[in-house]
Amino acid sequence: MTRSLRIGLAALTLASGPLGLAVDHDNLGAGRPLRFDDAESLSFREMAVEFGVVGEFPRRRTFGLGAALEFQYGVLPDSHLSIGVEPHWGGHGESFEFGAIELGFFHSFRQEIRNHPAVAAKVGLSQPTERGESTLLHLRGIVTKTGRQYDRWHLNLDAEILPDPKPGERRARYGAILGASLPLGYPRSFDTTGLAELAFQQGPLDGQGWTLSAGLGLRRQITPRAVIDFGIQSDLATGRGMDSVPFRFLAGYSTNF
Amino acid sequence: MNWTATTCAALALVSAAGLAFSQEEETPKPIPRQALEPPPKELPRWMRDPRLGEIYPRRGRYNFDVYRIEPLARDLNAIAVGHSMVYEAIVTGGAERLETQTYAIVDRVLRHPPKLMPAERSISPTFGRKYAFLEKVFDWTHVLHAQTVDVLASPRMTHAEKDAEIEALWNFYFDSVPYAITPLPMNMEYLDAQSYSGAFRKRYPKVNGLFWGYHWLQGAMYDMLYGATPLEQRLQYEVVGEQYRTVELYRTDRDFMPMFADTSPQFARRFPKIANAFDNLHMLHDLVNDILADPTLGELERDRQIQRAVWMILASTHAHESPMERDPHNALHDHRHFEGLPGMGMMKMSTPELMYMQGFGWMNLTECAHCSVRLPEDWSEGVGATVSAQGWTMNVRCVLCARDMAAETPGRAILRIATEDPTQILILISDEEGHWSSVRKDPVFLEVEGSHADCSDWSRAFTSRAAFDAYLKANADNPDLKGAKPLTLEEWSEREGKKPDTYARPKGPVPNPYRIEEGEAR
Repeated sequence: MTRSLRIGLAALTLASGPLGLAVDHDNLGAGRPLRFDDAESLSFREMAVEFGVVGEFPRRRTFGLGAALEFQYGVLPDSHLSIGVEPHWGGHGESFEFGAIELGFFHSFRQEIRNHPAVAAKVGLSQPTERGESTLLHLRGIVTKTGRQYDRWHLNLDAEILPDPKPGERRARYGAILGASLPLGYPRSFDTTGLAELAFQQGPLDGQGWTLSAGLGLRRQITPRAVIDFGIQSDLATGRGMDSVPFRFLAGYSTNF
Repeated sequence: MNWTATTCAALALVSAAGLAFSQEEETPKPIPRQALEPPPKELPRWMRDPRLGEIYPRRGRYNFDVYRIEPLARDLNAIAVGHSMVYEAIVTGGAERLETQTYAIVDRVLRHPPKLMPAERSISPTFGRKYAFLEKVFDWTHVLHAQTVDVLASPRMTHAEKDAEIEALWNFYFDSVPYAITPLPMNMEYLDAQSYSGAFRKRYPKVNGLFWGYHWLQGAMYDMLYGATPLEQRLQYEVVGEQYRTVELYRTDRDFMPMFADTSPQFARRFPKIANAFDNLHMLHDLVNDILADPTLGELERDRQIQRAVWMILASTHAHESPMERDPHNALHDHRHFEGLPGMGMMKMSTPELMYMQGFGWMNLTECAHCSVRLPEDWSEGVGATVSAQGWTMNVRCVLCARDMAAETPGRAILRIATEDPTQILILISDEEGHWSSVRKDPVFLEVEGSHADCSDWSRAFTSRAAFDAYLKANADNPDLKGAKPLTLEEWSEREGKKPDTYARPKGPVPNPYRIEEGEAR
């Protein structure tokens, strides 16, 4: 599979990394349903499983369907490990592919206190299961800060490094996401959070430009330990040589134990 | 016990009560209002740690079993919202609207409680950011609250398994973090004698009433759940929940916050560390509320006093201290508790024997509330009961005392009665007309009324006729029990005992220590 497709599917499913957060509708993790993380890790010794599906309607390709399954474990205070897989179908006329195995480590350096934002970082390793593919390294810095009262803003800065690029591939590409979250229904209901994002991402090939995309999502608590999520995303502008995905939908389920 | 001994015991009780405050040196004095003190220079390091350090609760098959009693679960969910909304309003400039707009919003949530427990941090983000160290203490102790209730609500665990798991939960709570609350009894009079004490209840009586109503339920639910079957738990919560929603939440006339051992004496006797920790948690809420409401404190001083309030109730502040130890020069380290009740610290002007209880006056906590005879140390001998009615719970010695005390009180009541089987508590619930019912099949009662000095010999409850017969056989030498007949619940319910011959009303140093004029008391 080409790097551009792998990266595209990563964006479809678990987006910029393999990590998600604690199972609470107001705790936000990449892929559930949008691309960004907030700066909180799982609790120490917490375990969580996340499952999601994503469908995309690209402009110059066939409909693609992906899935993501991830297990997370709070290995240390303020830190968690994760492992996940992202199988997919279609998109480039291909049949089923198992995709890569995603390994990740998330660490929260500080929570938000007074006017100081919460800060976290995560490192992910995407190990392909198919021959000829290279390992990808994801790095993400996360800052979360409250706006006026309940609205929270999440800045994610991404770097993706390909240690062994093929000809024409970028060794490193960058991205940035500005996410926002707001609990919905206060003061009458307390089980839903709305999300929005604006993402900039550099193309994976030399000479490609940037893609600007936007997304909207909802996370809803359905049991004390389970959350469902829905989201839509659209590429608003694409740079030179980039495929555009006008519409993409995402749905998922998260539980902890 | 023969007649002479009985009489002597009764006379001794009467005279002891009458003499309780006859000697000048024994008369407790109110603790004067304290000057504002700074927090210690060396606060625990975790209080400045910017990391969240959240720990996942202890795993167990019981987690979230409180949802099997859905009305209780929902009421507890609403309590989390109620706490958080008020704190958020205070720190975001809404203090002036606390008794009106905020109260109305919270009241609506209480009347339409959420299905699921919200994260308090999400509802009070400003408060959580400002007092992150305080939120850690609150959150972690609330986890203990939630998990102990889950254990008690679990239908899959035996009584012994529940006891063992609650002990394990306590150890997990206490050993996992440096910010556990002390399990030692604390002198509540001292903690409530800070320079700012009382400010919140004075300025925001309705909202304070809600807080104390929450704390009433968070105490009362434990005895309601303890030793009861799932059906009994649900039936009891019909009574307890109605009392909570219609009366306790809206009371503004309480003298003091509800104490855990007042509302759940049985659980408090069994798990005194937990009872004390919850009382200390609730007192921390009061301390913080009063600090935030005191108009004489500036922003910086409020922050400092909240640091000190947290420090005062931390386990680390009282490390190497023991129950009943007392520093005569510093009431912060007064860990005396009431005699026979290690799960409650000293109250205003109380002695280890006597405490003032609103609506009842001075009470000797070692004695039956109905007949004044000494209570059993525990219920393992099949002796002892509690009566819950109109929001109060009282300890009594025998089932006659329980029944008759409930009959003197209008409205529904719950009796929790020791039986010959320590793992089986007989729970009786009355309707508005005083008719008793039980989900247990065919409980049997013994009642051959005599002097109350030995009422627990002749007034008892049994789980079966066989247990009744075994008791009579074992006590064949007791002439008072000769010819005793087993009574059905219906037969027993129709009875009414005489006024106990042993009853003596204790006297305190003042009629009501909470109603002393300001200048006189402090």
